[in-house]
Amino acid sequence: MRLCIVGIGGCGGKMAEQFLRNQDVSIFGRSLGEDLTFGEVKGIWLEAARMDAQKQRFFGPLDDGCYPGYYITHEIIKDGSDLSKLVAERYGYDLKSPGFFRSADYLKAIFEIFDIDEGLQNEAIREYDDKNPILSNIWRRIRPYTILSEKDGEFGEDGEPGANEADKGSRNNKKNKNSKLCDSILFTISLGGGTGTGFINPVTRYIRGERPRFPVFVLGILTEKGTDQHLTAEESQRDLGAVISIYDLLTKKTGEGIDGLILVDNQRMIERFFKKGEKKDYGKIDRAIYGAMKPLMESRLYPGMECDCLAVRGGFIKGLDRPPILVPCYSSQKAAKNPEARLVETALDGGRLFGCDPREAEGAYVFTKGFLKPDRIADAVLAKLPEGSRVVTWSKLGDKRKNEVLILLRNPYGVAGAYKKEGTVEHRIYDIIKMARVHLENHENDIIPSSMPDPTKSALRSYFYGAEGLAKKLEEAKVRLEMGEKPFFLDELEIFKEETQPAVEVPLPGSLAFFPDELDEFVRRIVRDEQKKIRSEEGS
Amino acid sequence: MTYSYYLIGLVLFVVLLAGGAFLHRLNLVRTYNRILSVSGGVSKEKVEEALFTPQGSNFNAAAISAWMLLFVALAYFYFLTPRVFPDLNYFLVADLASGRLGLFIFGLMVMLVTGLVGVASLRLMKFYGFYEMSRGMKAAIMLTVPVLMISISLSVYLGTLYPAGDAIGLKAAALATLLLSQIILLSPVYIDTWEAVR
Repeated sequence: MRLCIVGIGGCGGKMAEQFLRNQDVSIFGRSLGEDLTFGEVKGIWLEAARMDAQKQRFFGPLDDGCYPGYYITHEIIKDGSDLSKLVAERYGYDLKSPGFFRSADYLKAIFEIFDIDEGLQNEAIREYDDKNPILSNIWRRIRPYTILSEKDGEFGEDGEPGANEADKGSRNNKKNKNSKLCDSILFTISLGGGTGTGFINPVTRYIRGERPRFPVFVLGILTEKGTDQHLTAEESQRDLGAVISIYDLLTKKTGEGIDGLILVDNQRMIERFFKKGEKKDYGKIDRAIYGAMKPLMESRLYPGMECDCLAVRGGFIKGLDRPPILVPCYSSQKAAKNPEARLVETALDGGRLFGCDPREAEGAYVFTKGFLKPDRIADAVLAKLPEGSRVVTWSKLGDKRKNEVLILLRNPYGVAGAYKKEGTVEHRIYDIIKMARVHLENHENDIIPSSMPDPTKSALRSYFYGAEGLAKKLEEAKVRLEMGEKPFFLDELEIFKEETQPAVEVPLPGSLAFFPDELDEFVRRIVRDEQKKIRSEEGS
Repeated sequence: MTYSYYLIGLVLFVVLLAGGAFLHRLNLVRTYNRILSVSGGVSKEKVEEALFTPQGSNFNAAAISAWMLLFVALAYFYFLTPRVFPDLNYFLVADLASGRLGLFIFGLMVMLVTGLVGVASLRLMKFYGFYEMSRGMKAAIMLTVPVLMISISLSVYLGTLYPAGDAIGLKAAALATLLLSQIILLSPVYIDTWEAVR
């Protein structure tokens, strides 16, 4: 498994920087060969604010041939673009709006209108030769780092990973194992309502349009409570952005959205690393998160063991129709005799990067680094999880001096009343929903700006305050959290929906309409085929 | 600097090198046994393959250069003048020693010999690939290149002056830089062994 790290927005970029740091030495600051990263990951930073991108020195402009590189998300849109004018006139949105606009719905809306407005699509094709120039250009920058850019890759030209692996034979499989390209994507974002929060859903949706089963994971960092050192937006505004983003990430069906949301709570990290009132060095937190992810990224597996990206993806989504929340729990200890039980205990007790109760997890995906017995690790994890939970372990080699374990707990929540208890997923999510609701109630004029054209205002009103709008859905989510139901977000929400098409009568093939038995058999066959397809998707 | 000091230096060089090779082998065996204890039966080749960590092309280039220079520095220090080995040195080839390009040709010949080390360096890359090295350690190994250049320059200077002058300080500096570089080049092995013993 080799990850392509895509940092989106300021925090996402800082996080990506940790992953993409060159482990090789440089000669007078210059590198003669390719950068060497831990786990041989590759990656890119997507940023909407050019000034911020130019201020830092780690990433260079990707289009100037720099690596690691940044790409300005709306770069493709020229000043004075007809498409940009049309969007502004028709919907009131600025395609070149910077990320610090801190409104996840803003970017969500922008990309939804490209899906539904044929006139806009035609204009985009006329001007940019593309239906959705911003997203397609972003994907064009990410794609070359993945095995999808290889012609006869495992994912094939049809983009269906493993769909016909058996047919392809071992030659291609061997080729892909030796490939230096990435076989999965890990987005690193902050859920603070900025570029990362806004872009993650449109980007994953766009990728899914082309590659429904390519493994895509998100490492989302929930910003701290109160006002933080960097962000000027108030907590309720950030929480609304976070809620919109998490809602969209978790309500997309498998194959349409991501394959797992790895959640980290910055509030927890701050409490762990800094005293009250102490100036926060966010770099320390970034390094700690990166360190915790190392067992996942490590490429040296125990001899004879496989860590296939499709197996990891399959494990994460097994039995689910929506992506799971994965809470990372990490621990690292000096090499000792029989370290497994103690290592697991430390990871699940003090090493949780997001508050949760491991006893409520549906299962665990364990990545170890060092010299640890996989069966002992699995037993130690199982002992902490509900009976019958599924534990999958991937063992990787370490540096002999220390042992590390990263446990990803799947959906560790779902207890009635747990929302009242600090340190649980329910409590934290309930809290941000509550804050988001406060923002929705108190800032209606900001959320639906009067300067917007009427159709946009009406779409926003319906999305936020409609009978089936976000405010209502958040109330429902609160109730579900109170009752301990899973998942807490249910129905997908869109700001701009396609007009409901009139029902079209589908003609039945041949003379089936006159022969009920044949019709029955016909329907049965379709259902069978569909079931087979779903099963094979879940199995992969 | 007397003959015995030269000899002690040479013995140290050989001991460090042989010790490094021996301990590296030991580290491999120990790691193999540890892997066996946690994951069942696998072949040694598979373990070596699985343990390999790429160290980066800059590091590899620097490490190969450093190892080649290490032997060049050794040859220049011990075989340039008849001080240590009266029967085996550059001065015995009179045509070469008195020629304008003599020193250069001697250097070239040593380079050819150490070129064999270079060929074996594919093995060398595997050797470092067995250890997890920090950037600091990699930088230290890279810095042995200029340190060895100092050792070579000092030896060349002393060889040019020979038989006049007996700059003990310079000789000691040439030997010290040579041995220091060797210790740094072998440090991943020694550190790994030390960690295991601790």
